[in-house]
Amino acid sequence: MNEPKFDDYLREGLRQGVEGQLHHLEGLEERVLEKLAERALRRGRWSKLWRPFLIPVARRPALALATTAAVFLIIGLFLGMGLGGPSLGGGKGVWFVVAYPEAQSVTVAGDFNSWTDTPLKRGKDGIWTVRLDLKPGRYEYSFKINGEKWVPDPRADEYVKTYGEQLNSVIYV
Amino acid sequence: MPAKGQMEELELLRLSLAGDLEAWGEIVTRYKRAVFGIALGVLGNVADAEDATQDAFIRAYKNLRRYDLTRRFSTWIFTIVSNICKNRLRRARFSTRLEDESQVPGGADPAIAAVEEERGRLIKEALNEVSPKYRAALVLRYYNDLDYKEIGQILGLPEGTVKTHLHRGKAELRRILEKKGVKGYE
Repeated sequence: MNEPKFDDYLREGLRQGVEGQLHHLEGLEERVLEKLAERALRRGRWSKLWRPFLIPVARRPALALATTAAVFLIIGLFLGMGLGGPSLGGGKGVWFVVAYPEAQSVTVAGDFNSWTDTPLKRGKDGIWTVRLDLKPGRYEYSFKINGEKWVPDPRADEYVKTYGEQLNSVIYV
Repeated sequence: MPAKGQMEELELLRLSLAGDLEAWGEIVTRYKRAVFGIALGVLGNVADAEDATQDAFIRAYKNLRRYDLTRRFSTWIFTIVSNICKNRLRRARFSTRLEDESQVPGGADPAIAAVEEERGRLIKEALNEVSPKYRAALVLRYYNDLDYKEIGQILGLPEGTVKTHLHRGKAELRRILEKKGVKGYE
């Protein structure tokens, strides 16, 4: 038997056998991403319980900043109530934090600012933060890196799919 | 920034690690044919192969942090799909179910297309009758065009054993094809 001829026959036969079935792969990308997004969604729900205990070292400055802000917020509310003055805009201070050391700029856009860009401030170690006063509710949002690339928030409560299979982050205030 | 379709593989993997699912979608596009080919060759069933392919990309993403960026990504993803297939075969106790073929039309000449499709069908059917332990090596060698060393890395076998699997697998395949009346290999 002719070995190279058999090898070629086998190679061509396998190629044809697979190519005849490639139409089954249509939409595979969408199916994979959908499963991964579902997983992120489930993880998001569970991580709500764990998140306070799982702040990485890199985010500790932001945590300290947030804690300080919360203390001031409480003092402010206390003083406000005591003096009978107005409340702090009726909203709740929410920190948006993302680690992106290589970025030149980071903004956040979402339902709360009519999808316009609110800049985040760069801190040490490439941690970007901004505090926004938000009324209770559900908000979809996304970070924009260097004015062009949309990325989801790894700390979001959940995620929803949007155009072009992009993910929007969701926060509940 | 270039579009995802023009990006280097390493950059896509880095973006995927940072949570960019769109980048992972591009990785799926680039590797799905090769991964599906392995799954189909080893499992011999389209529905199972499709499922194993999807599973491989999901598992790879979940374990991406364990992927050594100095290794070839193809070797890693092929290892994952090979292991998935191996486990499925074990669970199915080497079932050799043949699926209902639903071929797509071939080339412009219907007669040539029919002959080509027939060859593909024969090889796939014959491969289903080859011992499962030889199938993966045959597919990786003759569909994915990998060398013995890489096949060994994927299947966790020494190069010598890979050669043995290929030799025995081909001998089995020839016997099966001859029983089906295929002799000339033209």
